Amino acid sequence: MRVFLVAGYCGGRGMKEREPRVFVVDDDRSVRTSLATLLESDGYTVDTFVSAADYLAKAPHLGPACLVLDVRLPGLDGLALQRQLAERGRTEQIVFITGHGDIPMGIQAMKRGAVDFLPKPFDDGALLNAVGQALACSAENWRKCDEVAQVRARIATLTPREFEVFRLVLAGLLNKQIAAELGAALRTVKTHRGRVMHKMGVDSVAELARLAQKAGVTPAPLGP
Amino acid sequence: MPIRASRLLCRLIELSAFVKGALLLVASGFAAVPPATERSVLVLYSERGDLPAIEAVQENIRQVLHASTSPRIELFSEYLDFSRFPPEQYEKILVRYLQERYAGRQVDLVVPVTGFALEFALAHRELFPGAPLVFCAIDQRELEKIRLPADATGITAHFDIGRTIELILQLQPNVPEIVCVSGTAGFDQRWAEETRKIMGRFHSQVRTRWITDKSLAETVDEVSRLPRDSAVFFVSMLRDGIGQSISSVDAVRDLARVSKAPVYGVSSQFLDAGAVGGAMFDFGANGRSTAELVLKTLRGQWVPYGAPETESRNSLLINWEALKKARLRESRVPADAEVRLRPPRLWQSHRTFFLVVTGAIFFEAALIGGLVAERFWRRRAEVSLRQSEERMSLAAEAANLGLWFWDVGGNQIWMTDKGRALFGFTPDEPLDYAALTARVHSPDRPARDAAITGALKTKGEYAVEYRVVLPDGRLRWIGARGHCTNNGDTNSTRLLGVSTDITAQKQAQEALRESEARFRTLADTAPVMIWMSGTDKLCTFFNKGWLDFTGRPLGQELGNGWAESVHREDLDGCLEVYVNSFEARHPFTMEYRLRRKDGEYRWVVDSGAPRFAPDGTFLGYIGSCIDITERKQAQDRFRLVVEASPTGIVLVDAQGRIVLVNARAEKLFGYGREELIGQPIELLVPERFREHSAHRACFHATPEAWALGAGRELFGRRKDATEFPVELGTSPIQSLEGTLILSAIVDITERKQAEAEARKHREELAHLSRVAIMGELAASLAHELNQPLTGIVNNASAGRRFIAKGRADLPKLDRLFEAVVEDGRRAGGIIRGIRAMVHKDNQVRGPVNLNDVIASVLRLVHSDALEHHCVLVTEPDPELPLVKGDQVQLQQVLLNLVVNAFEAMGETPLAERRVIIRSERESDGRVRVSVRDFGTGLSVENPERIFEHFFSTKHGGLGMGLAIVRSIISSHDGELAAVNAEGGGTCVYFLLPAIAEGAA
Repeated sequence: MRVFLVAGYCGGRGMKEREPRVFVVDDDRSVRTSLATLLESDGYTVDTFVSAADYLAKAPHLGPACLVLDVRLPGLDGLALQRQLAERGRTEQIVFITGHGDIPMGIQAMKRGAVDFLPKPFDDGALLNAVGQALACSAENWRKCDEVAQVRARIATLTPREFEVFRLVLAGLLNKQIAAELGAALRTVKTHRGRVMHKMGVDSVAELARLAQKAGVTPAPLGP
Repeated sequence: MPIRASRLLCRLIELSAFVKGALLLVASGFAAVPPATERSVLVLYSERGDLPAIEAVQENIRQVLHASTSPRIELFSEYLDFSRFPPEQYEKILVRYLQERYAGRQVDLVVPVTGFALEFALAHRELFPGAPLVFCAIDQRELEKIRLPADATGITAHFDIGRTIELILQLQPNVPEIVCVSGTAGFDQRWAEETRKIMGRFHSQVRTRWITDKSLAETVDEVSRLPRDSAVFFVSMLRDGIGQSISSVDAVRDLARVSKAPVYGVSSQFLDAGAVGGAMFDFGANGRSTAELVLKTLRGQWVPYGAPETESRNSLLINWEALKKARLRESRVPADAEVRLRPPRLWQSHRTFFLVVTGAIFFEAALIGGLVAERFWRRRAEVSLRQSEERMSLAAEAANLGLWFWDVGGNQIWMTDKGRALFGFTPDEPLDYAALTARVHSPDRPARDAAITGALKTKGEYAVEYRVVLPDGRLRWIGARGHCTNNGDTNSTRLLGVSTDITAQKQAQEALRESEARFRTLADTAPVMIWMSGTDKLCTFFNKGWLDFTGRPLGQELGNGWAESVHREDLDGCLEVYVNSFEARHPFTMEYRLRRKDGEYRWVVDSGAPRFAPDGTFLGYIGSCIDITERKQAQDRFRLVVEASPTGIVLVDAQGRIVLVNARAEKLFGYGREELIGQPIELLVPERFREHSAHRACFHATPEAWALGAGRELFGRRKDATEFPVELGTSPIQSLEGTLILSAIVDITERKQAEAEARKHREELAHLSRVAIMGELAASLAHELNQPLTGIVNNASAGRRFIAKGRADLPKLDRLFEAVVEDGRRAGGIIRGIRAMVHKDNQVRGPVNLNDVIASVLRLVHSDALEHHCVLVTEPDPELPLVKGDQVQLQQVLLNLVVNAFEAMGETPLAERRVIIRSERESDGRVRVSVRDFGTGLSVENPERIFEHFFSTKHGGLGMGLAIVRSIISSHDGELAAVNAEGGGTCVYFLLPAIAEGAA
């Protein structure tokens, strides 16, 4: 069974912590504070950090998060931070801002999954759009995460036998084939199947298959 | 009386008698001729004829009119007597009377006398038709009331009451009251009326009282009782209070007799009657004037009424006797008053007697005077004669002259005592020619005899000198001069003359001769060349020295022969100086070339001076010459050197006057040397440097050579007032004339220009280097600028959003704006920093705090440091002293070093990338700033290579940066060095001198 690394993040205490947050990291005070003001003016809740190290030190936010990040930072620079966050599997979406627009740098950032790469001074509308986009993306991710967690929770309620049956159903096997595979009575298989369907909350195998795909459950391998 | 005068007098008398006789003859001749015209004149008197005033008028009219012969006047007089026969009653009768009486007569002119007559005449013009009227003794006031026809004229009278009253007040300032007396006749009343009016003017000064309507006796009585200090003004009394006919003059007489107080009146008649005086009208004079006017009228000359001739004047008349009787002070009499009736002085009455006596006295006096004078002059002549005799004797005495007189024929010699004494004879020895000759010293006898014989023969003069042997054996030199006087015949030839003792002279001559000989010896043995010339400019003497020099014999040199040895080119100048000085009798010095006996021309300096005899006569010149060839050559060389020198040379004396300039100095300053010599040195110095003379004063005090111009920009001033920069080197010269200062002047305009160019190039280079480095930092700087710009945009946009959402409150907005302004300033600061760096000429040297420079550099490189991942550490000394320098250039230096440090750590691991900037104060007081990196360090063999031009380890680097940094530091009097630091890396540091405390 795969233990999802992400589980620690996608789970937990419930939707009420799932409010969107924006984080700003820039070593320049005026940029930092003005950016925070701007974002607040659009209704976001903002936290600011002086350096990348500071940001890493803080516990990750449980909820949609957008990170507005300057490329050039003392110590750990923006791109390095992006790499580190990715390594740690963090979910915040990054919007890069930079004082000197550099094409290779930008391409690299975008390739690594940044939402946007804006040169300073930037159009406020552009930034807010990017942040909105990032948060939406992040929120979507969280939703997806939640969904997966939900499904997985359901799967967790399955007994091992049920789980097996589940997998074999996924493989597309008929009940009698499953019984043969498992060496169990047909009646037993049907019962299990029924329980699986019930526990998973689905009506059709197709739905089951979708859920299984979401949860990352692979059908049982067939054949010799 | 002098005869001449009396003769003149007789002549005069004769002349006048003759003239008079002639005149008489002529006049009588005229008299024989019958008159050309005859006229009738009728005089109408207002009053009766026996009044003194009227009598005076009548008399005068009669005199004047009867004296007239052309025309001849027939005079008629009528007395209207209006006082006694009032016109109301008798007018008609009078008219008929006149009509019938003058029916057959032609009256050519009517003369009314006093007012009533005039009125009558005017009223009855038909009586004498065509006859003009010439009135008399009518007062102006009366005339004003009458309208005069055109054919009426006359002399106006003036009864000057006012002035008379004033006279009273003048003579009696303290008069208590004036008593006015008048009668009752029409005339009296008229004038009383007038008087009252006038007295009104004086009412504030004096009281008035009137006595009228009283009989004469009563009036007299009342007046007699008046006090002495009072005054009586008599107006007129033709009829008194009881009707008696009075004459005013009689009345005045009576009053004056009894009155103690003075009596005043307005008619001149009253004066004789005893009145003291007044502004009096003279009836007689008026009558005369009227008669003359009548004659003029009859002759055709019409003088209209109102013309100046018709005016009469009243004089102030004073009766001296009455004045004294009234005890009035004469001093109070006004100056313009006429004092009459003064008793005549003694000499006036006995005039003839006095004249005769005085004449006799004068005549006597003149005679005496003449005699005395004659005696005086005679005396004077005698004295004068005696004096001149004495003088002659004295003169002869004083001059030691013996006068003698020799009668050759009679062989008699007369000599003055002095003369005798000369020859050693006593005063009473008999003298003759032989005796004299015996005394003569034998060797001299022949000469003397010859001279005497010569004189006798030629009857001319003789002069001879000889010695005599005195009785005591002494010899004496005698100089004798004399001449012949002749009476015509040869027998009585006489010689007369003077002799004198000339021993002293002779001795002097001897001495002179001797001294001349000595002089000659001296002249010949002296090592200089000596010459003498006489009054004719020709040379008379050359000493041995001269002759040896020229190698020519004396004979050739004398006169103007010496000039042949003078160099052709110098001859003219030489002669000119000689001649001019000669004329002016001045000493002279001149230099010229003289040919030596070996043929070479040598320079000599010839000094000549005039010679004078003891008595001041000019004798000629004497001079000397010295060979100065060597000296001249040396001088010339010096002069050539000075002249040829490529630097301007000016020699200045202790007073600051220019003594010498060379050609280059002339050219530099644009003056000719004659314009400079003698001028003060300040002429060449621009005004603002002129305290130079104060320098000169202390310069003299410590005469050491120091080069002026060290550390000072000096300028010279040309003639056209333009200036040019100079380098000046001076040194003092101690000469016999005192301390002179030699100045060498170099025009450093070109050098300055070259320096300026070089400086400009350096600055350009520094500027370019600054631009280059800023170019390198461009990206970082752009980033640096972007930060505040971003802040501005963000804040502004946020503000707009707040407003749009309605969440804007003013304090929030204010904070936003504040942040915007802050960012804007920050951006401006960065741009200023950039601008300062790339700006071209910023040669501003002032006190600079290097810590500030470090801080500003940090701001500029902030982004660049981030890009290079370098950490900047500063270690400033908080008590760093200030240095004097250009802030921008020092920034440039530090920037260069710091950027180099970043680039040096390209290979260094990120974590170790540090640049340490430190400022500290050195022990020697200098300020040290060091930039240390942790890069590869310098090459060990040649650490200085980094400072070379065009040496760079950078790709694309010009390699100029450090070279320029070095030049900047050295221009700040600093030191730049690079060493390998302990622990790796390079340390580049510079040292700058600190500004002394308190001097900043």
